[in-house]
Amino acid sequence: MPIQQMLTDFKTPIIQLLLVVLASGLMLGAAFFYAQEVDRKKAETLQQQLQINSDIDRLIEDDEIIYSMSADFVQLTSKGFYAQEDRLAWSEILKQLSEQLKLPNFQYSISPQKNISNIGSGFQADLGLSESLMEIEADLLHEGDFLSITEQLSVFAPALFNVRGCFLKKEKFIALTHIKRNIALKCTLAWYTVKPLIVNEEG
Amino acid sequence: MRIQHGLYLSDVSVIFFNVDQAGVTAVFSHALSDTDYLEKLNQFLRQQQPEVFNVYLDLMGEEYKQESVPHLAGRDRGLLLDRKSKSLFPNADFVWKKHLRREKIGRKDDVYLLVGLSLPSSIEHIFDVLAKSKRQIAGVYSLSILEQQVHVNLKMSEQSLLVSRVLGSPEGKRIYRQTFFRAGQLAMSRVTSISGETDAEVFSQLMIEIERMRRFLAGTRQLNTANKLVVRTVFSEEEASRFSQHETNNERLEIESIQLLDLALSNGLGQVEGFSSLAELLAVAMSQKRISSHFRPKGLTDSFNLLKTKRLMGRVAAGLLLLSACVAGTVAYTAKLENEQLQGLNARVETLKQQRTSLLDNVQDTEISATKMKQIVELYNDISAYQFGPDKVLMVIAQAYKGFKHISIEEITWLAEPSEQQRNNRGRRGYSEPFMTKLKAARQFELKVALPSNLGNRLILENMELFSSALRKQAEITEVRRERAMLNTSADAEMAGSLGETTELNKPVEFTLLITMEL
Repeated sequence: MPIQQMLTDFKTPIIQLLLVVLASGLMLGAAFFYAQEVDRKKAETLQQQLQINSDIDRLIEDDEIIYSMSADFVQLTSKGFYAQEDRLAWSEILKQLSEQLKLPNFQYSISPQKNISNIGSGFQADLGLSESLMEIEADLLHEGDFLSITEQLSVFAPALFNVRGCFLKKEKFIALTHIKRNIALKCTLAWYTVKPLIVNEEG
Repeated sequence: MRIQHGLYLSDVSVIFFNVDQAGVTAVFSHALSDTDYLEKLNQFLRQQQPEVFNVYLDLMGEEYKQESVPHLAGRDRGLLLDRKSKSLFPNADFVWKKHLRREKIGRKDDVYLLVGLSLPSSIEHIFDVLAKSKRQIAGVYSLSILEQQVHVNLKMSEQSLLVSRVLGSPEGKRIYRQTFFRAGQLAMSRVTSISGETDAEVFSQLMIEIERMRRFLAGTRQLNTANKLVVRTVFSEEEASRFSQHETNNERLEIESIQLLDLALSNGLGQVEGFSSLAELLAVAMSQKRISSHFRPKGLTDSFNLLKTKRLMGRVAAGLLLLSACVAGTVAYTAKLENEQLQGLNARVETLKQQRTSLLDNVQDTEISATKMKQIVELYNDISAYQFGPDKVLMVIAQAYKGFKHISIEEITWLAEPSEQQRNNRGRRGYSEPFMTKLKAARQFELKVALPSNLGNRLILENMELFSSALRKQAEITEVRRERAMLNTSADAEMAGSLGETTELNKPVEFTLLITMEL
């Protein structure tokens, strides 16, 4: 059958079929567009819900942290742990200690401050933790002086230290009647502070 | 049951009939010997305007051949069969082919039954009229080929002959069709015209024709002469009754009378009330079963094919529209349900937003973020806990020292942990230990003690052993090792001593212990 003849014979059904295809396409297109829009809005809303839930959880957690730790934090600030390193205060306390304990020989040195970036899991690298090494060399009358030194430093000196290394040696002959070196002390204390953020910005 | 139509054409008559619940009703019947049969038929068709009907051919001019052809597939097979058909039936108007089997030996050819049909001029004229008037002819069928459809429901026989009446016989003549089946398969068919006035004349002649057919089949080696030929007569009830009274003595034949009603029942045509011939039964069977047309004469079925295609396109369009509507409806309904869920979700999000706003309004102002605050507090607590301050370390040693009055502690050394600088240097070589790991690591201490030599070696060693044990008992101490000793009695150590007057008395015996402590 020639195409011309076929088109003539099937003109009406072809037009019908085309109209049906068009109508079907429109119907399906509209339905799928509507469904897609709903899906998109739902996905957006779910994402928003997820974000808000996360925000709320964070806010609650922050609130709990602030509630439970703000007092400790204030104490740390006043203790000088969350503060600029105060070497002058350290030197003043060491001088006071020397005089108070009547130490015949008391020397100290403090190395330049170093930043610690790799603190460990759960701590951010830019927290601002810094370390300064303080070397103390002293002739002690007895071992109690060592305890007094560290105790006084713990209580009065700003920041927090950790005994990095220490050497205590008893002299062979102990004098009880006059001031003399009975115990030799050489210690390295690592002092830690966390620099406040504003200082970092200035730096 | 919807009324259907059929046009029955034999060599002698043309019959137009309706098929309904009551059976077959002839609404037009005319002998082809009359000169005006075409005009009458045309007039009838114009008046009745039947929608769609089948044409049933019950003609003499059929030839049957079984041919083996090489096993081919697709278009090649069609071309080969067409060529074969033309060579076998050069004058045939229609050819029908059926694959019977495939040979099991040799070339394994395909065996086909080919039926060639030559139309008499009267039928050709009728076809011309039908084509010109563009009648809706669904298909053209050969009744002899259709007989295969009903024969399959009969008792299986090695060789059988189905004898039936051809409709529309003229006065003084009866026409019978004899169709031969071998092993249940149509093998050949022929039409016999018998002249006679009485049953005795006709049936005697019929028996002669049957015997002639038997001889022909035997002569062409289509018949196994060792067995009887089963002759199955399918007549109307009245004719069957008359035939049964006729003497049919022939020892080579086995006569069986098949009742039309039984045949109808076995073919699932029980709902039709009655039949008067096999041709009627076949027409009814055809009206109820979908059997593809045996012949497709050009021009005759075009109108119907056109109509069928238009209807198909219409149904496709309607189906497509319906399917689209269903799919679109389902999608839209599902989306609507989802949208309702979305409304609920939006309401929940609004509540959450309010909750967040409320929390934000009540958030405490702090110098730094809560997370950082927490980290700083935790860092401080950790450094404090792992300070290894003298108060803690000396207290642990003092606890163990209680009661060892002979032991004098000479030196205590906190073995230095690597500095941050050293740690960073390690890090540059690919090993970086975090600050917290190092902080919480076990620390080592060297404890140098001395005992007076006048205690005697045994007592000195006992005292040292007891002191070491006392140190080990402290919860914080994990290991105590003797690093250096002036007195070592273990089997793998080197031992020496001066035992003379010049030996310095009361020189203290020193030991160095390496203590590992964890907080």
